[in-house]
Amino acid sequence: MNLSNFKFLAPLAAAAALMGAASSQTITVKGSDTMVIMAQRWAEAYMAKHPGTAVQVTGGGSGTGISALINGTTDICNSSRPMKSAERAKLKERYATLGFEIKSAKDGLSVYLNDANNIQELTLAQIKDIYTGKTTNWKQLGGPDAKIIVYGRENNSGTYVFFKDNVLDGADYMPGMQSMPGTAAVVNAVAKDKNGIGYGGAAYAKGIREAKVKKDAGSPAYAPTEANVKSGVYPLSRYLYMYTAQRPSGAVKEYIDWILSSEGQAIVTQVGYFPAK
Amino acid sequence: MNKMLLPIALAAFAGFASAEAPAADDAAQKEKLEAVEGKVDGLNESYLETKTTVAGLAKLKIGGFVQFQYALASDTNLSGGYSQKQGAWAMRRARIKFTYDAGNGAQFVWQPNFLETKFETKDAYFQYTEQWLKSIWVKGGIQDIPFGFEIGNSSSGMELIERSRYENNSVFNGEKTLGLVAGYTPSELPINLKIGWLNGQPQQAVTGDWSATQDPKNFVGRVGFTTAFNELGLSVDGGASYFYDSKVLTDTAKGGTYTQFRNDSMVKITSSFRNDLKTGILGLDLQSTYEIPGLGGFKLLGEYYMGKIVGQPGGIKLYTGAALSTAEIRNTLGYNITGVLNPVQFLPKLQLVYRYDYFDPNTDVDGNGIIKAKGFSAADIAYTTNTIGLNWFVNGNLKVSLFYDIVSNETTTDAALNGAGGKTPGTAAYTAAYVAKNDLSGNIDDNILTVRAQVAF
Repeated sequence: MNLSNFKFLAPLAAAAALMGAASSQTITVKGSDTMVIMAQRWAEAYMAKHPGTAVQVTGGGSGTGISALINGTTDICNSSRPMKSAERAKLKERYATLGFEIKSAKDGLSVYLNDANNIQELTLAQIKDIYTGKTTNWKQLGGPDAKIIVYGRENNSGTYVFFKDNVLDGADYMPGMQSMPGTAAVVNAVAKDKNGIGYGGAAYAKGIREAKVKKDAGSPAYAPTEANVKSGVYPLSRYLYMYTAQRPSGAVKEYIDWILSSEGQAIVTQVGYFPAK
Repeated sequence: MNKMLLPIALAAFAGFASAEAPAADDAAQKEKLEAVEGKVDGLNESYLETKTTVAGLAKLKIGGFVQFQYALASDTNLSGGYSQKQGAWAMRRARIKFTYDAGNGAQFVWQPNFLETKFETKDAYFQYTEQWLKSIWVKGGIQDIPFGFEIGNSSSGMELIERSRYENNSVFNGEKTLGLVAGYTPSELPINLKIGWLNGQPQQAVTGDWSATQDPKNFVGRVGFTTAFNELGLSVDGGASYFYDSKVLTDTAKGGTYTQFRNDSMVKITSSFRNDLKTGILGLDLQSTYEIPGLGGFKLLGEYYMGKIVGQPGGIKLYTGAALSTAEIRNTLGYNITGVLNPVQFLPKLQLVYRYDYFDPNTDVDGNGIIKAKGFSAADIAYTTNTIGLNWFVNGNLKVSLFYDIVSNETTTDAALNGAGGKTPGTAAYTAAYVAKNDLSGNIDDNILTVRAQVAF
């Protein structure tokens, strides 16, 4: 075969090599809205100490962040749920790596109630019945005779998926649930609605009341306090994750190491979550 | 006196009037508030209705891809009638996949493949996953043959731009089949299992004694394992598959006539033994990934096929003829090994690929033994293909690939077989140019360079 026929492809190959080259000291972080305030605080504190490194943080939801990681448009993905096996398979297909998981903080996924609500505790089954539409009136749970107004997150949220998997056992949310764009919006809605119920990260629980949660009717009820979340007795304890496509190196590794240091973990506590260890 | 009382009377009236005004304002405001509340309720109702519709639409996921390419062959004609060294543009694949997740473990999939003048269905199936363990599922309809690793890989996600020669030239060509497949994929255990009961070749009209025992079905199964050592950045997956193929003679006579390798020839055999047409293919596959520290991810894929195939005359592709009396039976062998390097640490958008691929459609005869007078044809020639390639992931949607296939064929000195397309020596079609491009006494120069762009969404 006469390879001279293919000379015209040489510039194309060279351009491909150059354009595929790795970028500079900018670290991009994308994903979980639950984690976005914490991630911004980390970035601000880190950039103040490391002027040569820029950390760009955006939310969009855990699912969006994981897609960005697979597509190569972010260095780090924040996720409030573990990566699914199908997502890991895509990462493996694209990069031949298994992905690298970092447990960056702990959270007690809280069930928000309005301050005026007299319900103190709920079982997981009761919460499931509310969110699947089986229980529609607070009276059925010992509260006032009023319709339950259900607030939740949108389906690109890791919290939405975690709640669906761990509380609803995979069942569909009720059609009437009002989907909010972020946890702050859920908190705001429940704070203004005496018949409202919502869920979200413990760090956002301001102006509302967190219900105590118990595994079943015979179990003790626990509030999402640091002690209960760290010991794991709170039924909706979860980790907040960071993922990279491969084992971190260079600037990304330094940034993650800093997040896991006492300095980075102190910010976790300041924001309202709990240290990973 | 009256003059003195007037201001008082006016003041009293004013006091009365001012007492009446708030009441009127309250009523008006209440009315307005009720009107606004009514509007809000109406909007809320409308919002919930819209939300239900949107939630329903959100269950439908649409994805797809288009592959457009330019291929340049060295000496052998490209498919589609384009002559040597001319090169050819081609729309290699254009697919849209519709996936509807109905909830409660039920899913429906339809994937058409668009051709220049028509479209064909690549996938059309339902899948149901039981909701207790969520590890057992069934799939019914047109779907991937549950064999090996390569077949189940999406054409858009593969590292190579084309599948292996064994897959492309055997009963697995096209990768799809019609049937029912059940699977067990537990998340807690490192094993998985797939079993398929598939339609074989279309049933033909049958008379005579055969009709009572016909069973033109294929049974396929794969037992797989998957392991990951996250600390080491290593994963090893693999599996063993078996494809059982049962065909029936469709001659009106009790015995069918077909061609099979016997001794040193492909000979016609008249047989009344239906068992002769039960054949099978064994497959072994292994996939390993390893993250090379400081460099990136490396993937090693290997696949092995071995078995007897009943094919239509001139090959071992899926038999679609009207009668198996013209079938050919061969013992076949194929294997390939692929290395993929993703230098994520330095060139995160690039992927380097190499594949060694061997395919022998008839293991019972080699080289100079492939003689036309003994019933053999170009369909008995073995091929080795070395492929080197580069994938450039421009962004999340666009991938540009540059691949070069170096193809080597088994050779035979039989002059009658040379001119393998079937042109007869001495005829006008058997020209010197034709022989040069089909001369199986040496390696036919059929290397090919392909540049492909894939846009996926």
